[in-house]
Amino acid sequence: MSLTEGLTFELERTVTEADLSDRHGNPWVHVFTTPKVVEWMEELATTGVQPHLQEGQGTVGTVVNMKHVAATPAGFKVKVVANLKQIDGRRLVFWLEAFDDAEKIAECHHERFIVDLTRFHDKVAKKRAGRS
Amino acid sequence: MALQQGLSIELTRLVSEEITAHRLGNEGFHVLATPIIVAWFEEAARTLAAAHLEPGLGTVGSLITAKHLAATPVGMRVRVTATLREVDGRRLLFDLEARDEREKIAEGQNERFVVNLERFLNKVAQKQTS
Repeated sequence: MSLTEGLTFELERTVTEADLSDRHGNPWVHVFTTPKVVEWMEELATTGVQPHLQEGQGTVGTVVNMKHVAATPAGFKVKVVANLKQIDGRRLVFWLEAFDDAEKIAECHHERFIVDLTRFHDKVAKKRAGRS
Repeated sequence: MALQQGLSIELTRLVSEEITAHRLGNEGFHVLATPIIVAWFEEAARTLAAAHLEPGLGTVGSLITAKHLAATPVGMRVRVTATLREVDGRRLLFDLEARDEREKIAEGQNERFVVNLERFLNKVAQKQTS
C-alpha cells in the first residue's frame, strides 16, 4: 500500500442548476445544496486514495462532519481540496475544504475504511439473504 | 413560530441501484451511498422545520454530521427519523437516525438556520454579481 499521510487531492467543478437545493426539495433556495458538497467531498476522497490501494480493496465512508459556511449560486466554480491527515490501520482520516469563486464555503472531517471487496460483498449478500 | 423541541418526523425510502456508492463513483460498492444518507437526513430535518414555519421563511443547513455504521444492499427499505433537539432563536438542531430492515445504519445531527427567503435570495444575488 503506497498510502501516506499528507497526500492531497483536488477537484474543480462548476455548480449547475441540478446541484441547487431547490432541485432537491428545498423550494426557493437556489444555492449549492449541502448533500452535493458532501457528495463531491466523498468522491474526491474515494477516487484520491483508490490508486494507492491494493488490488481487490476499496474504501467505504464511515464519518462525515461538515460545516457549510457560505451559500454558492449556480455558475460559480467550486474547488474541493482533500488532505489525508491520518492513517490508522484500515481507517483513513481526511480534512476537506471547499472554496467557491468568492470564499471558503465548507470544511469537513471525513473518515473512510479500507475494505476487502470480496469479503465486503459476502457480508452484504448475507445481510440481504437474511432479511425478514 | 411553532417549532418545539421534541417534534419528530419519519421518512421511508427504498434503496435502488441509482443511489449506491457504485453510481456515485465508488466502483463495485452496490450499497447505499453515504451522501444519500446525508441527503435524507437533511430532507427529514428540513421537511419537519418547513411544516412549522410561516410563509416566506425557510431553512438552510449549516452543519451536518453522519456516522455510517452499516452497509445496506439494494432493495431494502430505510426508515429515517429526525427529532428536533434544540431551538435557539433561528438556530435549530436535529438528531437523526436511519435504520434498514435489519439494523441501525446511521446516526447524526443537522444544524439548520431559519432564514427569510427574500433576504437570503437577495444576499445570494449580490454575491453573484459582485
